[in-house]
Amino acid sequence: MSKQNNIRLPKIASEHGCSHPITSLKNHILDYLSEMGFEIIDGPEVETERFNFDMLNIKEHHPARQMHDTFYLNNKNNLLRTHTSPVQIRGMLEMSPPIAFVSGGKVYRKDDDSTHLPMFHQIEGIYVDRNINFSNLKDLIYKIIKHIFGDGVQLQFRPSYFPFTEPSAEVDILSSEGKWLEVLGCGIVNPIVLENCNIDSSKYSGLAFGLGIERISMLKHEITDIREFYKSNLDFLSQFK
Amino acid sequence: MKILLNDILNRSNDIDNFKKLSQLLLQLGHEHTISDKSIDFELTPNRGDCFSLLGILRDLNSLSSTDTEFEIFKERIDELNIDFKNEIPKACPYITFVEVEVDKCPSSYSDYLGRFYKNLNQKRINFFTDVSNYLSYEIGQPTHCYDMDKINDQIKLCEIQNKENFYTLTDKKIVLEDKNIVFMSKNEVINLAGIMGGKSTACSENTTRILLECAYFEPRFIIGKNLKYDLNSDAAHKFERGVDFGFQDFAIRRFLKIVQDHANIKNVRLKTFNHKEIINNKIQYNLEDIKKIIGIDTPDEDILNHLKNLGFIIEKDFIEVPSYRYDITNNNDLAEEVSRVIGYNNIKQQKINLPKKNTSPINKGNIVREYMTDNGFYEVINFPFVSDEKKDSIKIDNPIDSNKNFMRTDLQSSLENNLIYNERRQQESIKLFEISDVYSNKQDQVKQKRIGIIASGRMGRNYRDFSKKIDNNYFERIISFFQKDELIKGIKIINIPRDSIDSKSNSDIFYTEFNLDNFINSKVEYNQFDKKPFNFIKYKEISEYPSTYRDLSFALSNPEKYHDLQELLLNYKNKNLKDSFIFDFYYDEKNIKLKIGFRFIFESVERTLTDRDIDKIMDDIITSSLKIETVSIPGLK
Repeated sequence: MSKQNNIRLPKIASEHGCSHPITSLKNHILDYLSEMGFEIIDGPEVETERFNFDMLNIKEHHPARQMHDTFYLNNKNNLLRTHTSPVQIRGMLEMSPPIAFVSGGKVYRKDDDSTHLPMFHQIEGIYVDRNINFSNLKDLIYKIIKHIFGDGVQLQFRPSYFPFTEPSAEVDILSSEGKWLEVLGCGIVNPIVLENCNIDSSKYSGLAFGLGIERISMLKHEITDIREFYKSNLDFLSQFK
Repeated sequence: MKILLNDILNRSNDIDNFKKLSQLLLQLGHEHTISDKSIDFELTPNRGDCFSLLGILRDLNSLSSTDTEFEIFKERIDELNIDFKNEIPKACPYITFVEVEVDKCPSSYSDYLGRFYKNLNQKRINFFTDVSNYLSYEIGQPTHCYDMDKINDQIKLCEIQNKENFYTLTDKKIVLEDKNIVFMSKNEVINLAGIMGGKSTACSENTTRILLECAYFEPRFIIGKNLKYDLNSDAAHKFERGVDFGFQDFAIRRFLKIVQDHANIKNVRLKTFNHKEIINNKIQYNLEDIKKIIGIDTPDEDILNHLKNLGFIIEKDFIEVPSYRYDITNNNDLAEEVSRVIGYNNIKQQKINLPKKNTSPINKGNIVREYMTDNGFYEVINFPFVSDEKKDSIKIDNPIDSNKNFMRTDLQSSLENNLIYNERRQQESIKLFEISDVYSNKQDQVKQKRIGIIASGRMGRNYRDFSKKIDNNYFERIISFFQKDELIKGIKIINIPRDSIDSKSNSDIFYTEFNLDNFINSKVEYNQFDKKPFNFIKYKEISEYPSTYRDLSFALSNPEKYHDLQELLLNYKNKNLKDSFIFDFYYDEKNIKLKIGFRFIFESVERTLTDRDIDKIMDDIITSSLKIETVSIPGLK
């Protein structure tokens, strides 16, 4: 190659790489929640039954605790967390209300098929204060969903069941094809969970929410096979520059 | 769980179409799919009470007027003389046995029983088992029918721990292991309690005299057995989620009524063995608390009516919970019930104001990501499961498969696999990194945040770097960023030998990995250039077929024209042209001649492309290019 004053050299195309689409989306959501006032905290993926189940009101014989659903480690002394909720338990044990924090990271379940993977990512948030109610939760969820899917998004709340929230809800958005698609779970923190974390449930109440990052990413990018995220295929990764 | 549409609609006074029914079910939290004749429900695990026609009708009754009455056998029933011993009442506090004898079993069913078997494609087995299965569908209470002529001795309900062979009534052999609650007779297991009866005492088409067992089993004694023994038991599915503990008397009389509707009952006798009094749960309620939990200002009377319509009995100081709603224990549960009836979507939003917080610390992991991606690296995320055990590896008790028994203690093997995968996909320049926590049983450092960086092949896909291979100098320059930080010491570059890797490429592979925990406290700063706002692109399907490339070198006697050529070729569109770039650029100033080389990469998502396919596209590219003045292709015939 020779450089010449009269000739403009061809522009060198961007040689940037990019973060993994799951990391990018996780940061996009966490940044927004941080701006709202949530503190970002982190916790271990190798957990104990106490933090992953007991403290969250998931009883000893709950199906989620079976060997076919949860990865157990070191002769059942530990497990791979099945959700990011234990981080919230740790946070509540360390801090006093009012508290608002959010956590994002890897979680593990013993699944492996075309729609489920043994590892995926979640973001969960919790806000505990005086007089927090389901109407407040709805307001927060509307804000989060609109931030991700745009102001025009239509959503619906459905009753659901999580042992750690009561009332519990699942939230769907309306797709362009007119189908309701589940995107998020949420609820009012079960007073049993607050008491487990030494928070007086007669004075304080809380709201909590959790969403699966892969699911949101698939909807937003129109990815049809969840396994694409973890093949480390450059043809896939380079699309998210 | 499937319920016939007409079974619901015929019992509803004001639901006249599927759409309305669907809306009401969704408001109550019952996900479902409606097909031609039935509704397939996906119920939440806390609503064991809804796993039947009656359960759904009861819940719908809170929003519309539904008929939840079912006719029962009203005649007097004499006491049965039966030798039964319950050695484990904590697993089964309520159990009743009924002897039923009919003249003759019907050979076919018309009416409701016939519609159930026909329209839900249920397999008929024998009369009494068919009634038992229908009863479970209709009111949610599992029952079991023994052929009375095959029961000649004491029946005992007990827990066994020894290995035992058991043949189910579906003729499947299972080996009972660990703790199991079973019914035994003559030292033989005749029934895996609450899950499935045995072959030895099962009814046949000729059975006219049965012993009906109707019980309540505590969910914790049933959970997991269906999966463990690979049984698809409807009874276990229901007992796991909790059935109505105060329902046995009604269920038996409904069973007898169904029998009576289809056959002449010759004889019926009954014996109940309850170890606990049936007492409904009572909750001290506070309407103000319920309203505060939801965030509404609804009149008290309305809230109480909502609860009454769901079957709750309102007293002055407490609410009595119906025996089928074992999941209701506190004011939050009641708040959810009220919210369901109001409709979650009808509850108005109230603005949320979070307390002000201190600024979150800058995520140093993201600084590392920004630096790496600015330098052409792609982030990957791998599963942490590996086959090789290393010192202090954490062993997985129940791995997803036998080759993934351990948690990785470093990132190298994952990144090597990623590199090989991409080399096999004909990628010529591979630069990857992963940031991940790794875990070990090491006492002082159970968790470490690590970064692994791997690179091999061409330095870049442009005319400046295409001919250069990634080497030690390049890799050193990349990691020098981290070496600025005095907290990160001793970063080593490994040149991974090719002989240990199953790949045809011969490019050097450079790898490094180090702990990023200390980087959190690092003073190293990095300002990402060209930071783009977060953007959602539409994903383009990736081909599973091989790609192939063609290079074209052009000569231009008027160098100014290369812009036109570049414009044409870099914007050339064809569905099978995956990518194109300039890999060579040479300007001969003295002779005023310019040479420029383009690489075209072809790939189809539908099939492997043939030379002919590619030649056709190349012909068009060449023809279009040669139309530009002074452009020639040396060597082109």
